[in-house]
Amino acid sequence: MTVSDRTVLRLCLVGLAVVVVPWLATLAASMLSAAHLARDAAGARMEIVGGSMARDLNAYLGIDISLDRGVGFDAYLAEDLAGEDEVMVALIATEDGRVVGHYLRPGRDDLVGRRFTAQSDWRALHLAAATFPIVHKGQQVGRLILARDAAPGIPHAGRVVSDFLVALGVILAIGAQHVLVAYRQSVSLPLQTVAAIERRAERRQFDRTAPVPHGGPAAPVAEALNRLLAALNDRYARVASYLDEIREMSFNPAAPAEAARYQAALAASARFAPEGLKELRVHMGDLFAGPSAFCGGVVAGIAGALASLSATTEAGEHGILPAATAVATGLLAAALAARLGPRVRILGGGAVAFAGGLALSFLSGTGATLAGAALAVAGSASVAAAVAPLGIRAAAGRIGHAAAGIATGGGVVVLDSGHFGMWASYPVAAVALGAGLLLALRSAPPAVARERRRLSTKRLGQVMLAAVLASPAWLLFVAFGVWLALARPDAAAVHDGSNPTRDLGLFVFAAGFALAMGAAAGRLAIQAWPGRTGAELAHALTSFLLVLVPGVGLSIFEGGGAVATAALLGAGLAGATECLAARKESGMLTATSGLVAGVALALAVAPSGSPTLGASVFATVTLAGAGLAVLSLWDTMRGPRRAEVS
Amino acid sequence: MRGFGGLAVRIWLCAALGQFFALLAFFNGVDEVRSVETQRQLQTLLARAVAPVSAMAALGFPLEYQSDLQFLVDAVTVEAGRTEDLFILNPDGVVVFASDQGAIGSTAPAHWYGDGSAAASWTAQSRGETVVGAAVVNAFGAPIGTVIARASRDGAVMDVFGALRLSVVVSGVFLVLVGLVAWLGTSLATQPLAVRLRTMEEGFRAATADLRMGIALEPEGDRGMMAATARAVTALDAVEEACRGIDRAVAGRAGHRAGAAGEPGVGSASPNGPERPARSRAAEEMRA
Repeated sequence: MTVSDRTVLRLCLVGLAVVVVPWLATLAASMLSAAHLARDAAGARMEIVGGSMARDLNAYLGIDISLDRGVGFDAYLAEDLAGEDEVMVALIATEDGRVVGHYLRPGRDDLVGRRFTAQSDWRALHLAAATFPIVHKGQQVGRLILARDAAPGIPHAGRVVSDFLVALGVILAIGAQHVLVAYRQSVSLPLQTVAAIERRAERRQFDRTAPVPHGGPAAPVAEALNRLLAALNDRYARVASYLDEIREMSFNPAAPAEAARYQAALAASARFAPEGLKELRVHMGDLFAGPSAFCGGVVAGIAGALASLSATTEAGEHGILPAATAVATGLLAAALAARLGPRVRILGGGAVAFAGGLALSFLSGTGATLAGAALAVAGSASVAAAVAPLGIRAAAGRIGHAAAGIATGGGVVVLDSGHFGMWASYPVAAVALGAGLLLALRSAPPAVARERRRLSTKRLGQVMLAAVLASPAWLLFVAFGVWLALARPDAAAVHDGSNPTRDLGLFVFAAGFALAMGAAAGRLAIQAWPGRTGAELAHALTSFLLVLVPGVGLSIFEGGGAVATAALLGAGLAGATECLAARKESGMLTATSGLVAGVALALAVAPSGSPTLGASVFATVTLAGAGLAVLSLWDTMRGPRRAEVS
Repeated sequence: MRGFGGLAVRIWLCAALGQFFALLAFFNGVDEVRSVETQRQLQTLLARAVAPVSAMAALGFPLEYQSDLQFLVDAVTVEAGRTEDLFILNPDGVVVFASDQGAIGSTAPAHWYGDGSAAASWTAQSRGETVVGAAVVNAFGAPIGTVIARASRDGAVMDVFGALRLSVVVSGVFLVLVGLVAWLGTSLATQPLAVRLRTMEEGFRAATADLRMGIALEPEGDRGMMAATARAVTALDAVEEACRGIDRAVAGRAGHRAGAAGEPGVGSASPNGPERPARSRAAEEMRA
């Protein structure tokens, strides 16, 4: 780990501390507020129940029966309170303290055998009591006492906590990217330029200076370096003018020839710019590709969740339509855009996204679906534009960024699905799109130009396939779309359906999170066991995860665990993609894929719980097998793959 | 800390954004709890009203003739603090008794009937209001009316904002403290890097000063900027020395030869003269 990496890590830890402490405070405040609200509401319900019962009792006494002669109070209380789960103890007492009616909620064994009176110490029993007067002819003749739990549970507490966890996940992802971009802009980029100047100096080229950033910790270094270069060039200018002087004015008849020889030797061996230094322009292609992939992921996550949402709520269409449209259009767009210039490609994506956003605000139903799909395409296209040119090995590392972006997008949708409608998702998507485009424009062009030269020599079919498969990120989006479409019906079953946006957002969040985790795990596996063994191992493991775990998990947890298993599916997909992208040779891997696909097919054919479940497993397995087969085929066609290290 | 202030500000911005998201989660969570509690309260209210209404309905008279239901509606809603409304509708969907007496005689909107399934009771939630309804049947099981409890959600939102207020103030205080932590943490985290950057800068500055003063550079290794600069300077020095040699060779020939015998540039006109080593040294330096 270099000093630079360590510093970024430390900065991220500072950010973690700075984010988590207020987050914890807010979570605690929220829980306290909710508990307070629940207590108040329970009290209010007691008022309604008690008031209404006291009215009944008053009417009963109205036929001139005195309270201590009344009969059947126990039965009345038992019947009337059967539907009120919250009343634990109810008493009807006369003014002199005699209890004439008594009720104890069934199931509260801890209260059985106690003797309750109007003066009981309710607080010691963790109960809260409310008293209602019983009135006959304008005079209080007794009282009704209802006791409930002093601290009623918070309804949907799990949901409150999950919202907070999503908020934490979102802000940690955004914060990490933010710190990373800031660090790279203010430290890495200038220092890499300084390093480039040093490398030029080793090749005896002293004719370029480092651009001095506006502020930032590296600015003094760049300034000092530029002064040194200026001094060196001044020195050269002195020698050059001395040589000129000798050549022109020396009395030595051999001097002009000698001086000219020296001048030629100097010019040939080193490069100086005594008449004025120019700034060195360095393209740091991969410095900002990860963050731009992240931004694209955010847009894709938001758009994916929203596109599926508009289909579920308005026209009742299946969620697979927008997802499939987005994926298919995206693939086509990428294939066609491979022939365009890098800036045209990226700006085109932005224009499509803008049009999509505009359409979303005017349209509803199918129109909004298609517009959402267009937004998804634009987001993913901008990701691909940033990622694709980097080469297989470098692109594999961007999966983590893109997946974290998808998780963030889903999380924003979750947080935004509250009372006021989706007012924050669109600005977040717009900001992410803008930032992603800026970062991509900054990083992509030289690498894209290189890729274009490579692609222009191939036939159109090959170009299309290459554009699709050049970046594992595309695979990720295909997987994401398919997964979203497959998992969505389960989502509707798991959640109560009162807030479909939130449920979908949660799904996207979980998927993106799993993809990011899977990508990180695959990367670690490859780093730990470099070479073919590690790739084999990681591939086998992730294929196992990819196919076996979701199937088994789906059949075991048909409901709550479906989210977890779907998340594992995402992790497996990402890991497999990572490994496919990073491995160097094909061979045994194809066999492994075939084996895993075979096992999976067997699993799929085996009987499972419900028909929906069987269909989902079958679809998953088929798609996974088909994907692996296509990849293996492609791998075989291409021959041994060489990892590009940028 | 020099130059790293921007990073500290960025980290603080992250904290602020995180706090915004946390407050959003706070709002959503408390709003959710509030809406569940509202629903429960409406259900309690409805249960309290439906039992007597059903008892009266069992008598067989249409609901609109039973004027003591208005007293029931008023009494129940007063007990609930008048935050909710209660309506009793006849089978045609016309309000016959209501806590909001202005609504009597009007026709109920369609969304009060839920999703239209023939359930005994239902809950319908729209953006503006929460409605809980129950059908009332007579002794023969025929529908004779509907009881609806309704709560507006605007009040609920104001309640949630009230709960949020304290949290916002606390967040503000936290953000000030967090700014301090971000500043200190950043300066601590970037210390090694700052030391390294300062070393680099001081090295460049010292080299520049040495170069301007004409002092020989002493690089630590044979790689990097310093070494390259030192090599270039040595080469330039050598060339300059050679030039001086050329110049002095002429001067020596024009003036007194003997005095210049020990000078390196002497005799540059002859190929074997002392100028030769200087020139070859310069050429070697340039090639190196």
